[in-house]
Formats: sequence, structure tokens, C-alpha cells
Amino acid sequence: MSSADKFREMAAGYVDNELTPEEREEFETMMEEHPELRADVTAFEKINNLTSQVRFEELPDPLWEAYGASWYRKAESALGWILLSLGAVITILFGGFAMWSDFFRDPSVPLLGRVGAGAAMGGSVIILVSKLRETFFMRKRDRYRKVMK
Amino acid sequence: MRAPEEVQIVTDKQSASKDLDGRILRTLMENRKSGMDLLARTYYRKAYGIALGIVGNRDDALDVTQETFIRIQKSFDTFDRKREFFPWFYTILSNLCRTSLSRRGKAASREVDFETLQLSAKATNNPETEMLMKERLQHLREALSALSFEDREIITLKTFHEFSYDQIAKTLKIPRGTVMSRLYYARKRLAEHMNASDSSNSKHTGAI
Repeated sequence: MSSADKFREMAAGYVDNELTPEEREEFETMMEEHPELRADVTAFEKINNLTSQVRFEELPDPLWEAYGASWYRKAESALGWILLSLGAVITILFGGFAMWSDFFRDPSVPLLGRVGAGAAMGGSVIILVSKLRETFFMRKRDRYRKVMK
Repeated sequence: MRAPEEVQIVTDKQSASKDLDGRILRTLMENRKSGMDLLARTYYRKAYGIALGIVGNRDDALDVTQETFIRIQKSFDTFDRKREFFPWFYTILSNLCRTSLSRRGKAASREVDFETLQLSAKATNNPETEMLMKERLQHLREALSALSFEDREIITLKTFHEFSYDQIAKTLKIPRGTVMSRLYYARKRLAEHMNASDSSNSKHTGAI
């Protein structure tokens, strides 16, 4: 590694005024001997000059206020959904078990009634799974989901 | 070299920011909702600005910012109170920016367009140079879009948010020397991409 290479990385510190007085002096001496260091500094200063004249567009204040308040609602709603989903899973499992032991296995219930109830439950599960798949997988991959229909 | 007054201003700003972070932490521990409100008021714009510089478009930056605050709300209990707050906050934001960019994939890479990067009033004052500035701004947008996550991250912190090297070192949890080195190579690549845009533009103009 040449001595100029050792100093190259200091070019960033030089243009940002982040070098100590000793480092700065040392770097300036090196710049006189190595024109490539001067070229780096000139290129960086050119970029800094441009970036000092640009800025990221600000969002309007009313949008900030609405947006700032919305994240907490979103966080609360996320917690609500987690609890609801957990409760639904427990209820469905318990209900399923109760149905199986008290209804489907009860010989006093006619076979036609058990088949009908079983088909209705099976259909509900298929629709639920299909809707969940659409919500969690297909819509996320839809590049046009933000296009208003 | 920084002037003594400038050094003083930077030191004052850093200590004010540390005090504010301390106040946010105390409020968060006492009352989560009030703490989160204070945190949002303090850091929402800053987080959005940083996310915008990294992910390159408004919608994704807004999503990342909102998700960052939700994550903080959920995982604040896991935060080590002995550490500084902002680096932890930034790690969450930065990870979400990275996830957002990787989710977007190659097909949608054009969305990193930096259209929200605009000329300041100072740059549009002179009608003679305005066209040239607009052209250079477009080259800057293209060059920023072409950079890697790491390059864009460090350039955003230094250039658009004026973090000092010490602040960047703390935020990214890297030594000060690495900050200088990463900035050097990031700027070098930015300059190369801008030159490429310049010469490609000159060729097109020449062809016409």
C-alpha cells in the first residue's frame, strides 16, 4: 500500500472538516505530492456543493398530525387482532372437540343431521382458509393492490 | 477543521439530544402511551427523513417509519436501559429499511427513484443555472438509486442529516475510522455513478 493510499480515506474527513489540525496539515502536504488525492477532494466537494442545494420534500403538517396519531391506533389494533385470533383458535378447537364428542359421536343424533353439520363445518373451514390465503399471501404479492378499483 | 464555536454548537446539540432521549426513556417507563407520543413527536420526521434517504420513495418510507414505532412499542421491554436510545431506535429503522428494499425485489427496483429529492429555493433562484441544476439533480437521483444499502445509509446520515462522524459511529456501532473509510468509498462510488450519468447524457445529446 502506497503512502497515498493510506491517506485516501482521510479525503472524506478533510472535506467534512472532521480531521484534527495535525491530520489536516499532514493531508494537505500529501495532496501536494499526490494529485489523485486532490482529485478525490475536488470530486467530493463537487458532490457536497450539489447536495447542499437539494432537500427531500417535506410532508405537509396536517398529514403528519394524522399520520403521527395513526401508528398508535395501528399498534393497538395489531394487539387486538392477535388477541382476537388467539381467542378464535382456542374457541374453535374447544368447540370442535365438544362437537365431536357431544354431537358427532352421539348415536341419538340422526346420521343425516351429522353429515349435514359436518359438510357445513367443512365448507366454512375451506372458505376461511381460502380468505386467509388471499389476505396474507396473494394480496401481498399483488403489485397493483394500491390501485383504486 | 471545525471552529471552536462550531464545536461548541455540536457538543451542545449532542448533549441536548442525550437529555431528550433520557426524558423519552423516563416517560416511556412511567407511561407507555405518553412516552410513545413524546417519542413520535421527537423522532417521526427524523425517522421518515432517514428512511426516505435509504428506501428512496415516500410510500415505503412512511410504511417503514410507522412499522419502526410499532416495533418499539412492542419491544421496548427488551431494550437495555444502560445503552443509548437512538442507536437502538436506528437499528430497528435500518433493519426495516433493509427488509423493505429486499422485499421489493429486482422487478420493482425502479421504485427507488428519489423523486422526493428536490432543488432547494436557493438553487432555483437563478433561472440561468436552474436547468443545469435540474439535470445534475437527476444524475444525483440516478446515482443514489444505483448505490448499495450500506453506501446509501452512510451518505444519508452524513449528507442529508448532517450527523457528525462521532454520531454516525455511535449510531452504526462502528469505529470512527470505519466511518471515514465507508464515507470515502461511498462518495467515490456516488461520484463514479454521477460521471457515468453525465457521459451517458452527453452521448445522447451528441447523437441528437
